[in-house]
Amino acid sequence: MLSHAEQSICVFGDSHIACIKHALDENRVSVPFGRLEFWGASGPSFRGIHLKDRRLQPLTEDAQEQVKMISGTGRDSLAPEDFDVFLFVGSRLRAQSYIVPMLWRAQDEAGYLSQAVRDAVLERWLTGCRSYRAARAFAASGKTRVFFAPASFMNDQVLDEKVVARSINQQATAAERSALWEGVAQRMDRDGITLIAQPEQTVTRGCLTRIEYASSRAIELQDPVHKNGAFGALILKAMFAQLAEDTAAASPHVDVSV
Amino acid sequence: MRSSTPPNPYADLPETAFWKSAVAAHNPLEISGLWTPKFAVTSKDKVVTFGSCFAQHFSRALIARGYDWLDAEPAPTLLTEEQARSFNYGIFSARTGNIYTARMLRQWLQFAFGEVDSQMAEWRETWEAQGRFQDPLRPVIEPGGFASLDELFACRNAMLAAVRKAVREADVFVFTMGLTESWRNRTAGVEYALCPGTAGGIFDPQQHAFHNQRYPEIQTDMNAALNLMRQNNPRLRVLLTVSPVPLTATASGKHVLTATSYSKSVLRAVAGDLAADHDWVDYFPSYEIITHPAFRGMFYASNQRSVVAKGVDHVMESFFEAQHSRFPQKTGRTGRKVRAGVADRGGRAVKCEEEMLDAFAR
Repeated sequence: MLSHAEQSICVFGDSHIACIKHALDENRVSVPFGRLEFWGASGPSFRGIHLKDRRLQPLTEDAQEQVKMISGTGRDSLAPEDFDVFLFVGSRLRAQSYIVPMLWRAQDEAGYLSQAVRDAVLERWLTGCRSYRAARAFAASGKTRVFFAPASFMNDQVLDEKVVARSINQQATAAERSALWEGVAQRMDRDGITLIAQPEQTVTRGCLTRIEYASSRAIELQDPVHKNGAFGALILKAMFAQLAEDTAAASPHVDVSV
Repeated sequence: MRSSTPPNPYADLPETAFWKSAVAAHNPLEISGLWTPKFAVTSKDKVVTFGSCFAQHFSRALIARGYDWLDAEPAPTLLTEEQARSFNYGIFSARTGNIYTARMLRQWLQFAFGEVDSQMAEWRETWEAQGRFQDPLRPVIEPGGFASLDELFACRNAMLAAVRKAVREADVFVFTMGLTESWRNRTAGVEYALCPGTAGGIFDPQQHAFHNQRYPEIQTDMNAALNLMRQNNPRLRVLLTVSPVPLTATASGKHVLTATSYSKSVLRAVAGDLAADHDWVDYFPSYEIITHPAFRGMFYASNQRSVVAKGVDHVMESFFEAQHSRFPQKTGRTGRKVRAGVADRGGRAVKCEEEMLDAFAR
């Protein structure tokens, strides 16, 4: 196994990777890796990135321009063997689409779902996302380690309260959230992917993100989606901790804490 | 020259009162005026649908025309339409499965509103096969069965909550009466959705008894069901129909054709009398539109049982046309599909649990 200093990591995704960039720019977390790169595209351009011939490639002009800007290295495509570790962030896999509605159902006496239905919903959430399928293909290659941090809950104090009232289970408990994330983790694990769930300390009002983890201009721009460096740092730390555990498991007598 | 006083009570009756002018003189597809609705069903009304498989056509037609069909137990939005239907979501307003009989309707309502405990100690029957569990009251609701008894009862309780919601929030409750023949538990009297041993369970003649319901008890059960619903929603209006789909099989000892005739005749008579007894109950004659000899059997498939799409369309066009004719200010243009609804997508086949008899009974 390579030492951390020799390993490379790629943070892939849509505009949600910005919080990771902020975390690094703000020196909120030290990176125990030899090389860390970003790769992806924001907004509609992200849809132009496709898995083709085993490689993630920007197939539209917009996506190519975005990738060029975000990567900064001239890397025009991604293959599993290009990095030791991939962290998929956001990438159109939204907790808002699975965890939130499942928590909403939990408060409805008519909302109970059988395990078979829950499994079908989870499967659809994951495999219905093109980026997840790409992550799965990367993991299946056996040539890299893949983490996935889905897009987090919407930002508190920014999301319209009418939307909150009709779609957010504000009474959802940590145990309920944990049970759902655990199910996601187990399912991802079967695909060789490690889930980075939204850190519990960032959650408020059932399934919203605390405003102190929202992007710095969230209120000004009425941005319910994007997060700041503090949030990004928690994601990175969670991944580094897991990698440290991997290393410790492989070399139980070596201290690899980060 | 006519005098001001009619010579007899028939003299001033409309054309629809006379066979020659109302039926014989018309192409079957032009027979009209079969139904004069008692109340308007508008796109602002919340409509719930339950009953035998023919009831599914109602929800599909309502959705397709932008009516407010209330799905009290909706599928998770992430599921595809096909997945949702495979788990029997979106077929009726709650995941009851087909409700073929008046007793079954009454039973579900009694369970839902706490008049009877659906898990009563003396009858807590479940069907187990290969580690999976079926709900005897709706044996085909969960493909492959439930993972555990806890899950089975949790799902049933969710469905009962949805039935409560459907009754309490609806403006119009559409119920399609399907069968008189039924199977009951001899000890507890609880009625099964299907004969044990056909789509699940093991038939035990010591426990399972055939019962062909007769007019008085159907009327009693329907009145009890109607009263229970009105107790929980005094503004609720009820629209009854009778399924035109013949029996798949009969356990009455009679020929299936005469058994069908008995079953439908009794249901039709009860529906008519209930509509006559209550101003908030109406009967819509979809049964006649499909089955009557005046329509020459044109709406049946070659098996003389399945109703073809043209028949369903004609029934629903007749429904909306009658509504618009009677309440032009309250209802939209007749028969106009305003949007493609969820239930209209993919040309899905109506799910008829009774078909299980064909698959398993012989």
